Amino acid sequence: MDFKGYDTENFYDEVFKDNKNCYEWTRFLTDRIESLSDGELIDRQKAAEKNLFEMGVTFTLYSEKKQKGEENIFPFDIIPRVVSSDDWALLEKGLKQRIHALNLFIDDIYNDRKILRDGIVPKELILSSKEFRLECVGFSPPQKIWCHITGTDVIRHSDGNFYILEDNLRSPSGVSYVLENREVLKRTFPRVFDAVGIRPIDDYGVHLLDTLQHLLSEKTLNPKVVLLTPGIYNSAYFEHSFLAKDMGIELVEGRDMVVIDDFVYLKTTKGLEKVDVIYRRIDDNFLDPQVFRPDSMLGVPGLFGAYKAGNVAIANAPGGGVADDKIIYAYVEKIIKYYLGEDPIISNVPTYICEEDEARKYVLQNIKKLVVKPANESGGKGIVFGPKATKEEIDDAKQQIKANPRNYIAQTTMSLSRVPVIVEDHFEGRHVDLRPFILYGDDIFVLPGGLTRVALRKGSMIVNSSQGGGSKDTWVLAPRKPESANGKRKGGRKS
Amino acid sequence: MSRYAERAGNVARLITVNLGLTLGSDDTSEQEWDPIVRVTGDMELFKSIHERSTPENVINFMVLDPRNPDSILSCVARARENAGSIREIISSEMWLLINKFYHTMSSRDASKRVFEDPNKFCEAAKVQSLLFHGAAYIGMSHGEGWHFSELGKQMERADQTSRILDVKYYTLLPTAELVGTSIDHMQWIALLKSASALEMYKAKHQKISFDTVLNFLLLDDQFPRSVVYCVEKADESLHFISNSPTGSYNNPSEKEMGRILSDLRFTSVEEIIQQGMHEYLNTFQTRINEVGSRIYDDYFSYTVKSGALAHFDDI
Repeated sequence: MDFKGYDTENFYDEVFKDNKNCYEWTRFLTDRIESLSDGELIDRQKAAEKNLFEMGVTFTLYSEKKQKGEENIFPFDIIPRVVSSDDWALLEKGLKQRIHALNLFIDDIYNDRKILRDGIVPKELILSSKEFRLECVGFSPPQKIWCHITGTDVIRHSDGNFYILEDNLRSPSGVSYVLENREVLKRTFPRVFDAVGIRPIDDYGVHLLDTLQHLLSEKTLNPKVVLLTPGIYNSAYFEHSFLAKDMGIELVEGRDMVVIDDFVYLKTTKGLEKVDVIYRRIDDNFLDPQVFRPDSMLGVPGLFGAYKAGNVAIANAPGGGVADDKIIYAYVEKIIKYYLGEDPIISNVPTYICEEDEARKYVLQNIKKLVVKPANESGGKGIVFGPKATKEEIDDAKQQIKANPRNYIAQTTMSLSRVPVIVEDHFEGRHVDLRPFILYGDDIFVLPGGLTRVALRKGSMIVNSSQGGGSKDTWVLAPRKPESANGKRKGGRKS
Repeated sequence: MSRYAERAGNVARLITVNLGLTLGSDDTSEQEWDPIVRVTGDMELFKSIHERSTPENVINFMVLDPRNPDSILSCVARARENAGSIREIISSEMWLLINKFYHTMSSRDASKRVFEDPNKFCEAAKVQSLLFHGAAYIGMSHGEGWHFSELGKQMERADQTSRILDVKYYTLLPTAELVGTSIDHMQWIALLKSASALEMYKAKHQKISFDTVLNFLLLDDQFPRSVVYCVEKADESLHFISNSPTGSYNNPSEKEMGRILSDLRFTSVEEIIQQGMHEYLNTFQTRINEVGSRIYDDYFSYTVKSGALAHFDDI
């Protein structure tokens, strides 16, 4: 199979500069693919799918009441998405900057509230956020870290620049697919891995455990970490057990733990064992029925008390979701500037806060080019997609915005970049986004890779797996040559 | 998990043995296939689905019928479900094997393959079960988790051997006039094969007589499928888990397991026959099931660290 007939259709393509030429840093990939004989690529695609099937990376894992419910793997395309080392350097810097600022923001919101007093972010927006936790006011978690694990959604627009789409500060999932996809691709293109500097991601578990243990390392020598899952029927359970195994820690449910005198213990067959850090994969609301939702069976009664007493750390910290709010998003660039005095390295998708007069004027005039989103709704409710909306919808949206500007934001419609995928016997471009994973421990660490989600339906920009999305492995390339000018090679080998 | 993988393998073994036995005999009588259903104790369910115990009906029921909780498919599905819920504890190889096992059983062409060559199909199932146990033995640290899994497997094995004996003994016994004939020998050989015991039996006893067969399957202290051997291993695992020395007890399940073990150790085949084989085995099965529920009470119902262990075999 070759790329002769491949058409970028004037979209930004991650592999091809134009219809004839690929980028210098993707040549190794196109060369390798074109060197495969006819049918071999498809054989490898099938082998990879079989691999994933046998690994059990499938839908309907736990609902096989009957033989009928057939299992399917999450769609996976073996052509990797390649990120050049320069692009990655920028992304890495930008993500670190953003997480750093957001973390300062959350700590400020719950403590000094300087940013509110200085009028950078309106107070009402914070108080009306569903993710704002009164219970956390006046409190800072260990090491003042709130967002330990983040999975930021990034896209590349037709202008070739990266933009942040969502921050996902609460309980981002998907990293297990990143690691599994890599395992599969190592078997699919072993020789490429031999020859090219693709940055490894296998040590994610080590970094994650370090991040978690860092939280109470001052209090105890080897903090005991557990992963708290809602249980086997949760759709991300596979990831929970995967990560627990990868870190070598215990996977527990709320009922496996008990709080005594503000200390958290794990019930084991040999008695109680003190727990120091909880990597929770359940929402704030379910953590502790004594403080949050009283009907929650998933949490541990008294957990929040133990947390506030400083006897247990929880990652991500309860309350941190306040910075992950749709309308707060619009302020993140200002937030970065306010705390760090720097310009954002990666921009937001241009967002217009309709409450601001000038922005509203622009929105009303250009509504056909924009996406209008209600500020307080989540899950895609009430979104008006300008380029595709009917005249009635547009008029209706305009009226709503005029009547109640505070409830609306609008965003530029973005065009997602594309990557070739295998379609039957040839290649076609499909739109992708990227979810890198960022760990905030002793330092901020960005895993050199990430989940590339791909909209497999022709023309679609929706990458969600529920709507025809699949995934790809993400190859971050190492810088070409080790900086020989610095010449600090160890080992005394003469060059 | 291991318990259901074990059961799946045992069912597969029973079927291959029976296929071998009935091959060549033109008497494909239903009473030859009846016992298979009886061994797993699913006769009532079987009768509600099928009128007659033809080989086809029995094989369908025991291999791929999802309505039968003891069919190979159902066992593997449960083993896999258990394994899926403790994936962070077991090795990736174990998961891969049980997952593949399940997919070969549940794939669309499975029923076609069973129909075309049931022997080949069941042989493959047997091998997959053995592979899984091998992977568990060498892929997991022999700590608490492994011992729980081992406990389930050994109790299943003890139960299975006792059931094979019970059912076969029951069908073999009435033919007293055939004692010493070749038909009689054939039956005992089949019985030994059902427990994968024929070769080891011969190596030890050479000649086949009914009391040595009973002795071998119940009380042999070296054969890994003999009832006493399995109970001994289960008892060891139980003591590993509680950390109390063998020969003592510090909870009700250990106490009862110890009693069963002592009974087996200090009895003889003669006494068992005198007491009544069927009664003896029946009592044994009731008691071992009782231990199962005591273990559940002792270790699980109080949700002792259930996230990790509650799913172990649903003991």
